[in-house]
Amino acid sequence: MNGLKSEMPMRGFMRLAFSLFVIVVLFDVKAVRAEAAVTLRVAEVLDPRPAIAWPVAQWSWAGYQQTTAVKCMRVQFSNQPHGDGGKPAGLSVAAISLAGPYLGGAAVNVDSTWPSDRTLAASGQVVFNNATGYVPGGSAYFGVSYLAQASAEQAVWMTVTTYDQVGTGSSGNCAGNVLDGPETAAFHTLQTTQVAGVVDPTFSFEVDSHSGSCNGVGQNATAGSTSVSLGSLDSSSVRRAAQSLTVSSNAGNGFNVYLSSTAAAPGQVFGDGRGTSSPTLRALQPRQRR
Amino acid sequence: MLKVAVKERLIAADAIYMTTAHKKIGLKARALVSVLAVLGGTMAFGSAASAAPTSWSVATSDPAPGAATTHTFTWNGFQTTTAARCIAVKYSNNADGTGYPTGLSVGTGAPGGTYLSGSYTRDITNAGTTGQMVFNNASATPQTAGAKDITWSVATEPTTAAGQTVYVTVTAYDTAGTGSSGNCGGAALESVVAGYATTPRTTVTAVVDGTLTFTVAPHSGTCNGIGQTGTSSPTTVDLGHLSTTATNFAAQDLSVTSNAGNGFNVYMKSTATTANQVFADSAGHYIADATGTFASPAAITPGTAAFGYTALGTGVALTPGTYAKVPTSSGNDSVLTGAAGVGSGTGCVGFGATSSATTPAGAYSAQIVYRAVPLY
Repeated sequence: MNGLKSEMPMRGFMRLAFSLFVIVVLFDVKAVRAEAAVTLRVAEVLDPRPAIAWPVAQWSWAGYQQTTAVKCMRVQFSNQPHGDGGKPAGLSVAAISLAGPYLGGAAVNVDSTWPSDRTLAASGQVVFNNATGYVPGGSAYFGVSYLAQASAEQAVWMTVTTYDQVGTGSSGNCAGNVLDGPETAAFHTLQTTQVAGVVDPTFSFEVDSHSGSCNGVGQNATAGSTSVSLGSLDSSSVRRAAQSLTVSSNAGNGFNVYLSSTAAAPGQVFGDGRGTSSPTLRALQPRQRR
Repeated sequence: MLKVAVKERLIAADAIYMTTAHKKIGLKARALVSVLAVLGGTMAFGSAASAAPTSWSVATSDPAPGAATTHTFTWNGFQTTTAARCIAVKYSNNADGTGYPTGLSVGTGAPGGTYLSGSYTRDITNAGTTGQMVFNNASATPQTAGAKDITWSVATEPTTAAGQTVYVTVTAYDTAGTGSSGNCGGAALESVVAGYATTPRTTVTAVVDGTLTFTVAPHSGTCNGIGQTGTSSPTTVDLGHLSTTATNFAAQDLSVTSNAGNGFNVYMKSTATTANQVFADSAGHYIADATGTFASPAAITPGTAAFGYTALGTGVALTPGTYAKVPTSSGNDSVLTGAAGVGSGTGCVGFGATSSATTPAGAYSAQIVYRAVPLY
């Protein structure tokens, strides 16, 4: 399992740790039974999407025995309850990581103390061994993060059995007496739903006469929406008139209003041929996205 | 004459009938007669000789090894001329009264039954060693004829796991025992040996396999009082082109079928990690979350950009026409829920959105995660 640590992406481990933290808060089993009788079994995944890598399956239960040390725990994923029906297509436990306080007393990774035997991974079964063992307490949950989720939308059955002896060698099985189980519960893989909506672009651009001063400069001439008449020029004053521009849009990435003239050469913009200039205004919504 | 009668045990823990003599036990009984005869004639039953029990049996209310139970001794044909002021009840492994059944504890308390006239007390002084207890009533009167019974509690049946035959010798005496002697006084009137068998309980087991199906489908018609303007499929909800004058809405149906005995939940959340960024376009623009929550849903006002959901189904009913914000990836809202005993349920979940005049143009989307969690 130490080797598996490097196989398991940090993101997967963080998700596992986080999900277990959530369970610490949400799932508080306080009942301690003198006689084991499992009364609740829950298997769930935080991300139910099919075929994702390193899904986290969480197991929680109540009523399990709390007197004898668990030295081996068998986890099996199958198409039907109790390990029947074969392994779900696409699901892989060829690499797997165990975390959670059920077998360790802390809500942290217990990979190092419960190495996995994945000999029977092809059938969806993995066992976790610890020769010293651990007597389960009130923390009723653990999680496994494994290589790949089932590839189809389906019910995936998770079956857990605990034993009082470790498995022998790479048998893929536990040994000794069953302490709890086999207990089985299911989660369901499911694609996410995409909710979509479109906000259509809006755009309007207006040019009008301007009233009052413009940028601190008072007007002494007149302007319309398409004309600015500076009147008769003389050498003793500056003729001034202005227009108002209004742009309205829901362009998410901003806008520009450009101004240019139709003259071809600098210094010839305000020509005397007709005594007028023809500036052009262009409002653009750059990189508008739909 | 000493009269010892035994019979064959027909069924576990129950009656012994007079009709079929058990040969082997009968031999033992006859041997006991011989021994007692050699020891002396004091065991002859004197004046009661004219009466002879015609049937007798002992039954236990629970034959399981180690069980607390009530024993009922029934007989008929007993003598009716002399009062039985002491009744000795002796448990044994053998018909001749030898052997003490392992684990047997006769219990305490007064006996009852129709054979007893007046109040009898129980003396268990010798019960733990010889298996005999006696019931005393110094003022008892002669009993009338007919089938009569005596009942008494037993704290613990013999504990032999495989079960065993237990013999019960009942002897009536004409004189109550003295103090806590554990024995009767006077002369024996009549005696019979009955028996019963302890039998391990049978455990009948069977497994009902778990079941689970979870489906998402398009919804038709209104959902929680809101008409649909968009369309949906099992994996998409298309709200269409949003506006500032209406709230676009479309819904899906959720269905969970299971035999989970402890109930179920269907949780819903988005894949977004940050609130108010659930409904986003690819350029990083967002339509804010609806102001309502699952606990306190509220209407969406057209023209005030918002994205939310409503739900109506098994165990869940938001106020009709209202919305809640869609949880981020670290949250969960239960959009269907079944209490213990409710493993299946259906409902609709609908999504609504509206834009404002300043909502950036774009194609907005949210990824919704449904999780069915049955509690087996």
